[in-house]
Amino acid sequence: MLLSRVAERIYWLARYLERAQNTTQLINVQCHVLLDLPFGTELGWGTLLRITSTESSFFSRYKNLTERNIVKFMLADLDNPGSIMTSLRNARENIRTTRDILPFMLWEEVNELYLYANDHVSGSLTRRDRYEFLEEIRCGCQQIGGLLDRHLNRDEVFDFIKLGSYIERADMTTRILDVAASLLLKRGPSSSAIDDLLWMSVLKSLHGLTMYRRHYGPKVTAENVVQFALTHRQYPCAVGYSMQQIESLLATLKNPGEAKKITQSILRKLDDTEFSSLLEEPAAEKGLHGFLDHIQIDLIDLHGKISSAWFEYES
Amino acid sequence: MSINWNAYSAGNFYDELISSPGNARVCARGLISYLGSLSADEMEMRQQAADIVIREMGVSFTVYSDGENIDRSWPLDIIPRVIALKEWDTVAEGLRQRLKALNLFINDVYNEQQIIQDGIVPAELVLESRNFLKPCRGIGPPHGVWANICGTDLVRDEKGRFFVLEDNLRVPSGVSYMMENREVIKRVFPEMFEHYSIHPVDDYPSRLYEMLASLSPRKKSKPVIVVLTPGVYNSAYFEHSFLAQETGTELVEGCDLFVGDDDFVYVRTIDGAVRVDVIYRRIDDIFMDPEVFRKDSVLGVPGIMRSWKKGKVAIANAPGSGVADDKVIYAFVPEMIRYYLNEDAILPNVPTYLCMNPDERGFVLDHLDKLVVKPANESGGYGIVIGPHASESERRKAARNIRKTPRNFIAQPMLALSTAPTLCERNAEPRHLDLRPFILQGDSIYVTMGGLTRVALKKGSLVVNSSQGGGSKDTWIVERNI
Repeated sequence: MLLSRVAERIYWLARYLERAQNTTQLINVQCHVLLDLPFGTELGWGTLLRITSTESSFFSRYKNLTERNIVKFMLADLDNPGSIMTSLRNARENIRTTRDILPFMLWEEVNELYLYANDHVSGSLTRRDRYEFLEEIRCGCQQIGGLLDRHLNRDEVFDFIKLGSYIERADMTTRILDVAASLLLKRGPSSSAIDDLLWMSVLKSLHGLTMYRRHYGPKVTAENVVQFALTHRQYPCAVGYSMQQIESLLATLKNPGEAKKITQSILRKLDDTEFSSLLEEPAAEKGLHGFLDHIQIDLIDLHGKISSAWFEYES
Repeated sequence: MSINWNAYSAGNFYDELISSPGNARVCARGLISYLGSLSADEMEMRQQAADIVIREMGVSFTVYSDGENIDRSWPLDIIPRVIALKEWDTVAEGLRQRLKALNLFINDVYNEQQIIQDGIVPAELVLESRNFLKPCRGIGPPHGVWANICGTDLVRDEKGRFFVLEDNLRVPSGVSYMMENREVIKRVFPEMFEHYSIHPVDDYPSRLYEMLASLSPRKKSKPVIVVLTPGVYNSAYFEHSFLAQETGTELVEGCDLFVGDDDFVYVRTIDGAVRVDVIYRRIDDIFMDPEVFRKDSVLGVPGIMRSWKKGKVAIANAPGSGVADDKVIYAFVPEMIRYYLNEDAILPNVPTYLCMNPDERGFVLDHLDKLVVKPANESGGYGIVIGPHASESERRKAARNIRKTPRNFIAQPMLALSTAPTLCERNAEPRHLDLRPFILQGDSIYVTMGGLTRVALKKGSLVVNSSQGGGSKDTWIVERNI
């Protein structure tokens, strides 16, 4: 038996844990790109705000688009719904109210990670300290993932955790690609050397470079990276992989309603798209950016359908 | 430097572990010599280790005055309190006797009211009490038992005799801390558990489950049992969640439940509505059903009383049990034991003056500087005036309140509460404490091995409530002398 309210909270628990981990990746891709690009190439940290749709919330709190302000906003700011601290705090709140059905260790791990982050976040805003902090958060989240994998019954609780993780992960992969799309716009006159570095950084931030190479060989091209990150069925950070997993989860749960239809339509959209044409004007509405935007809207829609199928507890 | 037991003295108080400077009580000898072998640094490290474990386990409770801060760690002193099994057996027998009589009393006042007709307990005391819930008249809950879960507060006087201070029959809390304290102390002093036979306390959840299951109206092997909590901002939320987890039952909030047209209670799940058999409720009577009690309650479930009265769902503790959780009724418990069981009370009450009786009221008003005045119906130590420690104006205010509503106050002599060595600034000092065992009654009665020891961490203080600066200790019932 799984209460609707509890199902909703564990779904969000999984989303927040995934989000915290993904935000570390998002900040890392930005740093990687910054370090790799030749001197003089124009780059803005503001991209991160646009990608995470948090510009207005940022500017209501800060005046200047400096690296320090943005990193503080993304890491530590509890008014930013996507910051690492907000995600960890919310994960902890959700587990606090569902810990009775989860392995006891899970609460200890999440609590410990939150306490670590809370103690260290303010000292982690400089470039040097930041990397260590982000690594700790990533390791903490993955440790929790491992614990769930090893100690949780394969029942509906597990299904809702997986649903939450996959939706969040698919969303974040589209946002990481979006960083790349918007940087392509800013790089000035086309330079394939810079492009290669950029796509390499995207793969690194997804921790997917080796996996890419096993499939496509050593050469990193824009089209292949986009194809890999969006459609691949064996690579767990690919949107296609997540959607396929969601599709099979929905097949085992009772009364999935329209959630199934939307999942299938996203999968079709991914498979039917010609990515080379999206890369002609990557940052335009017709280009990669616009395509990613549509996928993100579909994912929001999918969340809505999951919510009305199982979480809205009308008698 | 280690603890110098020769310099430790509790003065005129009864100390749980040390009988006179340098001499440990028989049941605590092993513990005291073991603690004496640890250096002050070592003791401090163990206390720190305990604090870290508690923080990471997330053992927390809420203090209402802290606003939304729901994360104050539960302070645990690492020096355990030790009681010999032989002594405990008598206490446990007394607790069983007491709860049996209390339940006979509750069942009586909601049904025949024999004890009132026989003039043992004055009618107005029961019938005009705000804890006497008229909608509960004529109900016969399973096994005739109303208060299924009871937390009884015990204290010792200067001679070491146990007294009952109060019976908590509404929604007593603290049992999870009893179990968590043991978990922590096992990690801190594993050596002690290897060599001595300390009775385990972790069978409570399975006993609680069996008791709750015995109340189910459907005789099926796995009844649907839920723990009803007011939510995460309640002071005992940690415990609600802990108990649901440990008993394998569902933790629910009011919004998860509803009463169907057939008057059964249902819980909302991802597979639709599921019928509930037993509700272990951790919300107060008046919030349970907005159709019957407080209309503005959002914590409860409309119609739940209707379902309960028809026997379609069991509720523990039964609504209305609080009628016996009243410091005036408390004074009558020894009489009840004689009346219902024809036995003498094994555990004595603390002498109690009822302000409703003119003679006793006069005495109380004349001796406010020596007595402890307590409101009849508050819990958590709120509203208590400790005469000798109170200011002149506090005592005047207490006198005014007593004259205004005498029924609402009792007074008791200052108790010379027992003490136990407690770690303070790298040394052990005596601090006052009490003990809350938990008693379960369904088709049989179970008493915890020991209970939750609460300790007043401030020097000389007698207030042990966690909400008012108290801490706790692990409580060891030991078979052989250690």
